Amino acid sequence: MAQVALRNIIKTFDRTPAVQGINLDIPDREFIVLVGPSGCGKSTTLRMIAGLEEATSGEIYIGDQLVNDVPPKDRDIAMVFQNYALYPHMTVFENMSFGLRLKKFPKAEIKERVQGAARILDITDLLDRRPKQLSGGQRQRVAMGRAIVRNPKVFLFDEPLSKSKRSTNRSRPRQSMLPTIRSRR
Amino acid sequence: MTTTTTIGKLTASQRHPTRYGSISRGRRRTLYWSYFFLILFVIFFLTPPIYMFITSLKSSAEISAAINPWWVYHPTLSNYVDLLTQKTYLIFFRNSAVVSLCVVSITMVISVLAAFSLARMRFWGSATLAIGVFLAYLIPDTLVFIPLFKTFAFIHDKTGIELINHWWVLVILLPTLTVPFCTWIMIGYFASIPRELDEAALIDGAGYIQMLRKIFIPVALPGIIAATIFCFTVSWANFLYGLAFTTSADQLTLPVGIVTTLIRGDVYAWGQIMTGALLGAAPPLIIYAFLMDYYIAGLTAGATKG
Repeated sequence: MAQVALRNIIKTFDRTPAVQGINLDIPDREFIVLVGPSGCGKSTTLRMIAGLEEATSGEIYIGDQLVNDVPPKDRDIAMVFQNYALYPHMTVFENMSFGLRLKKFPKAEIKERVQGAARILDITDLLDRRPKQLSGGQRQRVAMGRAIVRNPKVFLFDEPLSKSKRSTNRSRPRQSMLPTIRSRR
Repeated sequence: MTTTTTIGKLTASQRHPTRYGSISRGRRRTLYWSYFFLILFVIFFLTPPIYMFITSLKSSAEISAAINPWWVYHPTLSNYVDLLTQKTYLIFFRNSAVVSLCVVSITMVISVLAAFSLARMRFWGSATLAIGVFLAYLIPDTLVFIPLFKTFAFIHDKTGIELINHWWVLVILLPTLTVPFCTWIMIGYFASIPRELDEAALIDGAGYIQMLRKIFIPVALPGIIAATIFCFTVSWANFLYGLAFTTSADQLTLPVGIVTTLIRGDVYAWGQIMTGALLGAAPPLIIYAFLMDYYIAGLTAGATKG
């Protein structure tokens, strides 16, 4: 885990301002939620921290490092997308281990990390299934698992609960998210 | 008393079965019409191959005899035997196969890479290029072959390399027809893949090539297969370029070879022509049937919340 700092972040899309001068310090191990009406720039801010969007001006720090020009893969962050973005042709195990396999982790460690995350998220039985064989809540947990196994400096969640039903919100995911992430610190 | 009224109501409703039967009746009518048009299409499209098959089983004498052309009175396999023991026909077949396989490989490599970069990498002029690809497809090959001839002559003058009358020149030429179309199909397929998938891959640490190999190609496989089938069919059946650019019997492809060697002057060897065309139509059919199993749309199901 690491601290995240935003300094005078501005983002404009073709002269349309999306984010106007954000200054934000998020200490290490802090759990922070951005709240606001739709279109106010929450996702854009997250995407800039992830490196998926380039900030028009301003500075982004992860840890002590200025990451404005660092590509997403080298920022050591994990992101859970609003619509989960699971790889449809891979099993749950392959989905969760994709990042580790790209980084050429030893097989034994990949297996250990994936199974550890699967235990926390209670998806051990689902490791051989493909995303389309999962329910919405299960997909969400896989998406979280994919973030957890990488043990990143920063977790970014872009409205991961927005589309799940109220009942599921109240039950497993919402309750488990915070302790799950805390457990990784 | 109540019972009587209920029964009375029931019988009243039974007197008007249209209320309940209307949906199924509508459905039945739709089915009739779809069967009607399907049968029409089947007759329209299957008559030529059936006629080819019937004719291929006849001797020349029977073909030219004034009898019912839809019936085989003395079936014979002589056309098949003659053709398959002829060296030239097998050479045509080999030329066609090699040309098609090379064209398919070249086309798929170029168009998958081109479509990926045009669909996903935003760079200066990418939108214009994508439109350019489509426009290139709209140019008919009948317009292109004369300038191509000129180009070949120019190359021959400058470098001494002879490009005319070699089967392998089709390997260079046919991609001009297949690459634009396949690229266009693939752009559409790649564009339909949710952008979050490549962003997730990007965060997971994939580079563009890894993203293409591990995410895009497997997810867009139905599209790639559709493009492959199209590409094979076009290069296998291409007549014009083969006719224009190859002349010697050992350099011809199947469609051109059948026409140039089995029609001598005004003598048409109909039996062998039909047999040759029928055998020539088999490979695309087999490939199509084989690949259909893998042609499963909706592979992206489950990627997102939906």
